[in-house]
Amino acid sequence: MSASSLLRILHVEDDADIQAIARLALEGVGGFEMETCGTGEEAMHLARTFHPDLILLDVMMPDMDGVTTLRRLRGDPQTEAIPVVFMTAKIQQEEVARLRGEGALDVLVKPFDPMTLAHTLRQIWARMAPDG
Amino acid sequence: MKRPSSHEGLDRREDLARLRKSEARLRAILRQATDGILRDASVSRSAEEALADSTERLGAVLNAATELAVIATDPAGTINLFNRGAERMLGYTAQEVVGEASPLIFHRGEEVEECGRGLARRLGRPVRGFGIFADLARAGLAGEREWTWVRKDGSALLVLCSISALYDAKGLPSGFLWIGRDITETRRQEQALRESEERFRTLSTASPVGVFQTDAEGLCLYTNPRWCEITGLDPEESLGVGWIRAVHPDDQDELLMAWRRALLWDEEMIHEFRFRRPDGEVRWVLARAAAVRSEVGKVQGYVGTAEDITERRRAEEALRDSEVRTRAIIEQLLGGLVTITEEGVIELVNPAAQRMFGYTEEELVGQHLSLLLPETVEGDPKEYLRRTHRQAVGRVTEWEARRKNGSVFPVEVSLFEFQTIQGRRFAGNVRDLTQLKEVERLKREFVSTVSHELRTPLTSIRGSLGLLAGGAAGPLPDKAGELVRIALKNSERLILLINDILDMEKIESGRMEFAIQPLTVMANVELALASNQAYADQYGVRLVLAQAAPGSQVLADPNRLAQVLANLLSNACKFSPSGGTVDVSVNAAEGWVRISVADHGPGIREEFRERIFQRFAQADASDARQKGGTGLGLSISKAIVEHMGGRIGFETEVGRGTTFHVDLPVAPSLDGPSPSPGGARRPVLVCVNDARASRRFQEALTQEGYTVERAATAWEARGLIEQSQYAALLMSPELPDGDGLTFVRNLRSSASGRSLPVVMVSGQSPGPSERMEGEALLILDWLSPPLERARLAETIRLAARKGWVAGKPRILHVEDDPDVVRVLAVVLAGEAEMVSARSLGEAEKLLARERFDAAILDLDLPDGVGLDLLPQLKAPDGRAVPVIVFSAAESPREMARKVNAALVKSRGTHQDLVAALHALIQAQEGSARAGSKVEE
Repeated sequence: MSASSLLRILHVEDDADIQAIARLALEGVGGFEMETCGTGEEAMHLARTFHPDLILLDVMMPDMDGVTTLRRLRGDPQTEAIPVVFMTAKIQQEEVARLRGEGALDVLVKPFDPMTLAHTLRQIWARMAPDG
Repeated sequence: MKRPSSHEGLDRREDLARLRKSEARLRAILRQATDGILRDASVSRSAEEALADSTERLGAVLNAATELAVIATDPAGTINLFNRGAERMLGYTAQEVVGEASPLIFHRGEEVEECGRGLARRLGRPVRGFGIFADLARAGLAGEREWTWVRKDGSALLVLCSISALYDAKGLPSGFLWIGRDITETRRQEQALRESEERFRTLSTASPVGVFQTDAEGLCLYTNPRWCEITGLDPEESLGVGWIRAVHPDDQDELLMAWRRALLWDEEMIHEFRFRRPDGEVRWVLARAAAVRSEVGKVQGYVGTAEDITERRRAEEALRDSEVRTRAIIEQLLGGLVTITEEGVIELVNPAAQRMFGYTEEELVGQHLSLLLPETVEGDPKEYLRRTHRQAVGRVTEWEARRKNGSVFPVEVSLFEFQTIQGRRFAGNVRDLTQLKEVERLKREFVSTVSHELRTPLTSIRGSLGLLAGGAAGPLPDKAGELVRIALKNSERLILLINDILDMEKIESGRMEFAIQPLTVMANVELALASNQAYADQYGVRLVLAQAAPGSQVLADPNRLAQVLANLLSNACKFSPSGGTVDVSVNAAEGWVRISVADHGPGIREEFRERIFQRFAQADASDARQKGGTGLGLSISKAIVEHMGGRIGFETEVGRGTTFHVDLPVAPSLDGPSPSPGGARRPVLVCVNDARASRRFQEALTQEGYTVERAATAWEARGLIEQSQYAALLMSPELPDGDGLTFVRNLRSSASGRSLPVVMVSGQSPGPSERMEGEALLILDWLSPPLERARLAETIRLAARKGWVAGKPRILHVEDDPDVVRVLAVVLAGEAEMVSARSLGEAEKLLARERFDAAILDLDLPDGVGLDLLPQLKAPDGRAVPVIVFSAAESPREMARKVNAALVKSRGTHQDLVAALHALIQAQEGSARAGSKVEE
């Protein structure tokens, strides 16, 4: 997948504070290369240009929500293979199940613990690509 | 009413007067005639000629008077005239007596002698025989008086008779004349009249109704004691015009009108009016009066009755009053009220119901209730009502109703039943739920939105604090570090609180979903211990499994059970001394499995025990801060446990600790411990909407040795299941009175139907409704037409057999997610031999060389769709291998169409999957033991 040992994460999140926290959480630990954006449209663009290993995708966003964004990503040959992990504040079982059904690799719930976020993402990544 | 006898009396008197007149006329004629005879005799004609002539004339006259007996004698007493009247009266012919006998022959001897004795005393000399009559007549004492005469045949008659002496022209006695009239009948009638009047008085005296009699002018002649009692008047006061004064002034005019009207139309007067008694009390009476008329139709008076109806009127007034009150209440009710007959005909709709349905009262009354139901309710409306009312009476049920404009809306109906003289009635208290549903929807949205809106800032707060506390911004001074940790801890508490409030809301609105299914208790308990140990570590507490109950199975939702156990374990940890243990025990008892969580903490204080399961109940205000709980955990746990048909409770001792226990119903093995599975088999209940199909199933199953009971409707099935135990329920997704899935869902939440195996038999247009989504109904098999008898029998056998047997089934797990594969392998390690394939190709290769007892399929595989494997998933005998589809991507309707094998929709959690697998494999094992060719 990625040539470097850095895991390239695209964080799509409309809340700037949460963007900042995630960035701090991941960059503080190290081993991640972060790109963030606030809308689905930007995410589509960055997915093609930044070539993330994994997209951390907020569900509730203005204009284009996470699910639509994921479907758009899946519809584009350039981005269809990029694994996506949803991040949602809706923690009801059925909601989580719905998101999994959309083909997300995993669903993380908000609020999240920034101190374990890096570890969690690495675990997901490891599961995804055992050889990596 | 019989014509009163006083009337007859009057008539009699009139008759008498008339008779007297005719008699007087006759006497005059007789006198003339006699005179003529004598005159003629004196005027030179031969006396015989003259006499003969006169006698002839006289005879003619006398014979014309048949009502009177006219008898004449010569002075010696020999009868010389005996007219027709006498003949008629006495039975002798004139020839027999004229010139032959004296009147003594028809007089009663004793009477004549008696008269003679009296006469003798008077005259001072003895009188005898005919002389008695002669002397009487001569003395002028034989005027009109009553004599007893004796007929020729010996019978007696009473006669009013005058005997007079006759004199010739010279004044010499020429004989005697008897003029008699039969008064036997008159006397008899007078006697009867007397008796009748006597009876009337006696009767009226004893009569329970007032009786009165007036003359033609309305003056009262008679009142009976009861009449006086009613009016409060003395008998004297009541007579004459007294009674009119007793009539209530307000009613007098109307009474007179009624009286006149009755008179005018010659009919009985029936009128209700009031008497005002002298003591002021008012009494209502029902008076009936009829005119008494003479034979010529003249009104002679009135007789009538007066019945005291005061009580009845009072009751009527009270009834009217209550009616008015009830009516007012019904009219003003906010809720709709509809009453119907047993046939469903609407009798009453109050204004609220009229507004609700958009009809006027006139449009509804007399119509059938089906007018208010959606058109989807088909068939015989009577049948529908019979079915539904049995379910709905005495309960609050939700229906769909239809407005005049055709729109369908939800209503809540509380139906009750009452008995009227006309028969059984049903009344429905109807509430329009449209707004409520809307409010519920808004509340759901609100809660969900708030949850999201709260979480977003909390994510930043918690995140920032977490980073600070974790040293992401460099080491913090001690005091700052302490403050940051406090803030972090409380932001976490806030998050938990939001979660609990969400749960609470879901439980209260009935939207918390439960996937109740057979679970192996120990697996779930051990999982809970493992996943909560990290939390326990914070308190320095060790979670210990003190007692196990291997193999026990309960009916529960695994996720919810985990939630309850997490609550109890975290509570126990919080109240445990550091370094202590929390002891978890599992015990199986009669029908229940008890999971106990015991701490060695301070125990629960007496005064707090009652409130322990209440919301936000914490022993004291400081507890919340010290222990970091939300105060909702136990309340949520209780709701969850009870929803799963279980019980929650605790024992506590101050200073020693507290033990919370959860009792869950055992998932029964239907064959029980009985070693003879073919012995006393429970019957299979068939509830299929098509009667012909129902019979076919019955025949097929009967041939396979099953006893079969049939139910036509869901409610009937429900009733039967409550009463008896069945091996399995065979049912169609659509039923005449509801859909099968709703039925099964309700069944699962009832004690009697929780563990009943259900086999769905789909009709010509198969497929479960969309509502099945999100429900783990534990439907064991899905049969589609055409019906294969062998398959049906086997499915029932599978369904009816339960009980886990040793020996690991081989399961093919086709799944491209290695995590899922690993997890499932771990979860099922003790129970099945798992073989995994990560792609369709891999699975095909495995299937080509190996046999599996079941398969778990992911639908979306890198190289195709899992369902493509179905043709290959066949046992050697061609029977389909049970398949569990593990994906949320496709709706069960579409799957059902493709998968003609067993299908359990599951939601994507491992526990669901395990449970589904259990059910299938158990069935499979049972089938194997029953001698079916499943294995190679």
